[in-house]
Amino acid sequence: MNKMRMNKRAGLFAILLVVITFILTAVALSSFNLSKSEVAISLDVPEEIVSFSQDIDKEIFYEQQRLELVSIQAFHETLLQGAMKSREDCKFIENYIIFNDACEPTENELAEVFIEKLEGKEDVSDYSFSFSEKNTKLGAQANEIKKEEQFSGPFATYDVKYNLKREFSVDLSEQGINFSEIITLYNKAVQCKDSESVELCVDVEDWELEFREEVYKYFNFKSEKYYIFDSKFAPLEFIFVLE
Amino acid sequence: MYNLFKNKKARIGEAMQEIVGTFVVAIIIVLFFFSSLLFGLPSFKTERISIDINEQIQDHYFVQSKLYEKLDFDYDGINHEINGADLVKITEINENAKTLLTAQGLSLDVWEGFYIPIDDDKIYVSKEKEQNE
Repeated sequence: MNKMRMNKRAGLFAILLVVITFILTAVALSSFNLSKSEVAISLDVPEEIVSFSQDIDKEIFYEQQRLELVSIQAFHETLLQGAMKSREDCKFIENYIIFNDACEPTENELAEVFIEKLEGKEDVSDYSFSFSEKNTKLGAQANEIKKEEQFSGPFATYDVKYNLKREFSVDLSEQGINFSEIITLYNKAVQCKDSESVELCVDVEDWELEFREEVYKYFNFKSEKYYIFDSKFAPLEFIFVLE
Repeated sequence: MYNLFKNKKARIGEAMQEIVGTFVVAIIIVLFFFSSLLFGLPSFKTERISIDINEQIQDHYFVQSKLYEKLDFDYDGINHEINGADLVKITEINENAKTLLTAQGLSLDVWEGFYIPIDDDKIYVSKEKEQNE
């Protein structure tokens, strides 16, 4: 009986020891796992910083593309309007503008209409535009884009920010926008309108001509190269009529 | 109980039992700590992050170079020379453009990567992921 009492105490001690071991082990395991995942989170931060800095390239690319797309759209609309400002001297027939002494295109007016069309575009309403290098380069300026982000882990906090100054230059001729070329088309048409074979006479590089004569002489110039505008991939057209 | 106070051997035995028990628990905790370091693998994680960052940078410049690269595109029976960015825009109009884009190693299927304006929207273009990724 005395022996049994002593074993009870020892037995109780043994059970207590096992329980405490389990508790301590469980606490140790969960705290190690917790700190392991915290270390993993803080190790992910460099990847996020690299991704953030790559945003700058993507933003610049997007802005440049936006300007180029809108430029070609504005040029297409300028040509649809006959490359002229709206005024009483200029009349239309079947969507063809009638060119004569009172209404004929000039490079300056063409450039002005183009800028008007561009500035009227909501997509780029935050930009101001200017020409350089004899109207072959379009400068575009807008206010800064600021971006800031914070990445934090248990060991450090990272504040990353950038200010992107939006100043771009669009090479208009590379985009197919050439004001002097449009005036050349008009001058060639005037020069050749009375010739036997108008299409052969008007031999302009990069443009094709469809000519027909009814009461008026209808000139339909189409670019050989295709561009993206009006949700389509198509040639630019410059159509007009000569008396 | 009285016997226990008097029983030196028993007292020593009990004390040893407690000390050993404490050591066993401490050793088990230390073993768990080191095994979590070895098999939980922060060093492995660092290497994986390094590989992921390298891939991210390579993919980024791959896509950027493809968007500027000139390529031939047949449309309306005419061969056109366009760049990758224009090809992305044309996928909205023409199915063949998407096939050509995939052949260039680019994909429009995820909302990440470079973004290109089209109408009032954006098209996202990224590197085509390999099948086993």
